[in-house]
Amino acid sequence: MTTAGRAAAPILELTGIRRAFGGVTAVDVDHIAVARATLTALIGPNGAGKSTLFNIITGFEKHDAGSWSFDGNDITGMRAHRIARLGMVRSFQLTRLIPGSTVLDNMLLAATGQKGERLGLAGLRGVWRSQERSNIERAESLLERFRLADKRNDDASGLSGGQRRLLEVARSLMAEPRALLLDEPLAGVNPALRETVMEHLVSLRDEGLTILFIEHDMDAVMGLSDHVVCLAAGRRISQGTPAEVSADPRVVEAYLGQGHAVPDEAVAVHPDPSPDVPTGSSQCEASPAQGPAAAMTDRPPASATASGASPLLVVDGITAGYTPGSPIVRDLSAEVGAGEIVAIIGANGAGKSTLLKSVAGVVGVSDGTIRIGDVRVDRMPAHQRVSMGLGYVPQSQNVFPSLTVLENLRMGGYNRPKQVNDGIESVLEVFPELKAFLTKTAGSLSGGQRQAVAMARALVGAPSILLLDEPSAGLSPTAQESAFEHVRTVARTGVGVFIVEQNARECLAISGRAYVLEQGRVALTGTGHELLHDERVIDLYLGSMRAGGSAD
Amino acid sequence: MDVLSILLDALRTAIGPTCAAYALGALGLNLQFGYAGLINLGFAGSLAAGAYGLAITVGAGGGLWLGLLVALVASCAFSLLVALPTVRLRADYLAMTTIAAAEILRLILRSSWAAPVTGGVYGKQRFADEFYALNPFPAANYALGPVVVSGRSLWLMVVAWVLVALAAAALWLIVRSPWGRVVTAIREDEALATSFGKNAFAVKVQVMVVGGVLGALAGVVLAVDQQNVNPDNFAASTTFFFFAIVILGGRARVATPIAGAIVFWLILSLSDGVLREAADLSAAAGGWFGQEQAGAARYVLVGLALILVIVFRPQGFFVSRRRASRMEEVTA
Repeated sequence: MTTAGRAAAPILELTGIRRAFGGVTAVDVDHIAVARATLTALIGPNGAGKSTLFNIITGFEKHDAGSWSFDGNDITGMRAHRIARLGMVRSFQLTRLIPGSTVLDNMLLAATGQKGERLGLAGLRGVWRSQERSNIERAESLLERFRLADKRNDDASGLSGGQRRLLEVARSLMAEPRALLLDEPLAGVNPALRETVMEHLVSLRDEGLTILFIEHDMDAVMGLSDHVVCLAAGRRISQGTPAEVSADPRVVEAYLGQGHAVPDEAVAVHPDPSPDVPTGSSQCEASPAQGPAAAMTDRPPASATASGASPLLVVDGITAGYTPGSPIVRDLSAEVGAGEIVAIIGANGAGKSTLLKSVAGVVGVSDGTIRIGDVRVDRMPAHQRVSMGLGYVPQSQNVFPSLTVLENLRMGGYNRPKQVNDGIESVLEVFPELKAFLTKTAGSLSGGQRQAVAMARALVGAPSILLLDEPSAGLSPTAQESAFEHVRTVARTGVGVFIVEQNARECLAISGRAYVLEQGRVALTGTGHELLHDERVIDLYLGSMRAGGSAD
Repeated sequence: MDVLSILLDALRTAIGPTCAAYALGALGLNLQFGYAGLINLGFAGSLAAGAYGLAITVGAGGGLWLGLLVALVASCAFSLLVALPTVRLRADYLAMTTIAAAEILRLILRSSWAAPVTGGVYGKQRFADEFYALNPFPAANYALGPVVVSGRSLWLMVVAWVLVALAAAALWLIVRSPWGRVVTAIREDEALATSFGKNAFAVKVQVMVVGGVLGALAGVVLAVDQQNVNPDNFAASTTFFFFAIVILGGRARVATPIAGAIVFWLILSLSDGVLREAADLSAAAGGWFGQEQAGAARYVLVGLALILVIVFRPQGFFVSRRRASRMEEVTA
């Protein structure tokens, strides 16, 4: 790093990297260069391919095409442990610690070139003792720096989310990296410790370390980074200084969906009461969430369905999460009526998918109640909730890839074997394009077709409530449009649709009402139309990035 | 019912060379299964490699020491052959491929094609005379507490338990080294260990080889004890006995497999004694429960004990609940 020429050359350079899963292209990046001793942020909406790209360049994932080099070495396709030994060390999206090991042992694991790790020398304590001692000293001084010294002998799993992240960074430094690749270093870190983590990253950069990080917290991205690269649908759509990227309309579009002006009647078109309710609920109420009753408030209205009829799905003050003590969804209430499309939008990590999963019964609810009609379902196992009229389409891996489309649809009728053929017939009327693929395996279909199969399969079970987790994620614009069209058709049959979407604009345009989540709580609620034009929604997605962009 | 003789028999079994051999093998399997998390259902293959390595070499006139060397080399070769293509696989596939590898070895050993070398279904006999010729104990009976053994069996017992002690000491040293830290890390989170430059593949192969060598030594002790090797002694059921021992004792502690082996043989021997007494009584009264049923029933009891242990003490007899629950909490 002494000569100017070497300092100017990027430390990490990616060229033409491509990776597809089945028919879906996850990554298709033409060129990214990361400059030495910079903080470079990799941003983009869910499913943009950020983590996949990380996995590829660190050797944890195969690539279909392309090459990449680190510090002058071509490391294309090199095995992960060798890339790490070259000095490019990564972290993972969820904090990963060795359970049952102390903080110190976690640190020591990461040290490289340990003689005692060779089996032939492992039994000869005298050979590696002095190296172990110096590693311990180095670990202790790093723990000191990250203010974890008093946790030295604690079980690492007892640390808080923020402390885990700090330990992860400290541990990576044990490997003496020249570049750190951090996958969401601020995820799960409480606000008090966020600042600390960010300060540490900046001072590491100042000491000459190169840091490439994925982050969803836009305030952090804009405040921290020297350079920002934005991916969407696997491609690099923008890069530059934080100000340049935040001013780029393509970035805003990637986060909020196509900006093409949504005609106002789009909202009015949707919530017509459907006269031909073939399945599901008995009560099909008229246009929910219209007029002044659904005016925007900062709390969900007591009765969200403006029509006054009792809603089909009532979520009341639920708290849910994956690990006890750190809830993702907090004290959240929401309602969905028959024939209504209710959107859940918000930034990544706001708890949207977790909300759907807790309604579906995939994630446990520690507090609050969930009712379908008059039945309380929050203590029921997921499969029983399906019998109660709940259909759930997960975000990914939502078809059985080795089964044919017809078999997939039959699986949806598992609960009502006698009506399964009728169910499939009526569902195929909604999804006529699937008729051509009935005997093909679902794994051979494109992303959009799979999404249609997944939705259709859920409908074969004749649900009264359909939970959709990002039905448009990873789809081409045309496929997205048809996915949203399907959602509207389904709602017209009287099914209440509870939908999580990344493409907020498109989704708000078809939704009767929407809940905007922020850190597991409802931050805003209102009609789709109102929220569509609400500046605060954009702020929630992009943080002060927009402010920074307009100031520029 | 002769309670005293049943207890004596049980005690004799628990300190005998068979139990020591099982302890030795279980130490090796515990390294693979307990520490590294590798489900090697072909463990009996390592025993077979060791036992046949010795028997064939001695049978061909190679002598005891060469035989031991061949036993160890054969087990390393077998472990490498199994491990190199399989340790990258997910746990369930590893289990399937290893069980297949051990069965292939067993079927080759018993085939008529290999019979000129291996003795086919009849196996090999009388290859341990040189070992017993080294016996320093004069031919007499020795009282070990209440148990009386011959000088000849005392010799093998001492050698076998010394091997157990040496193996345990060696394992104790290496699992407490940075190498042991990497092994644990790979079991808990292979990707994480890899992200720090650890070659998970190489370490897992090492674990397979070291564990396999201990298995081979166990095979050698068993073969020397019986002066007989037979391919069907190394069927999948043998592997499961070793798993039962590791699970009974508790995983991922150095000495627990030794305790597990002793408990396993105590249960087997005690239940055998009690059931045989019961069979005699039943036969005298004209009942259906005879010696044949008793022989099978003892394995039923071992199976039952195993189920009870797994349900009520999943961490094993000799691992504290606190440590285990802490680990569970973390993995949840």
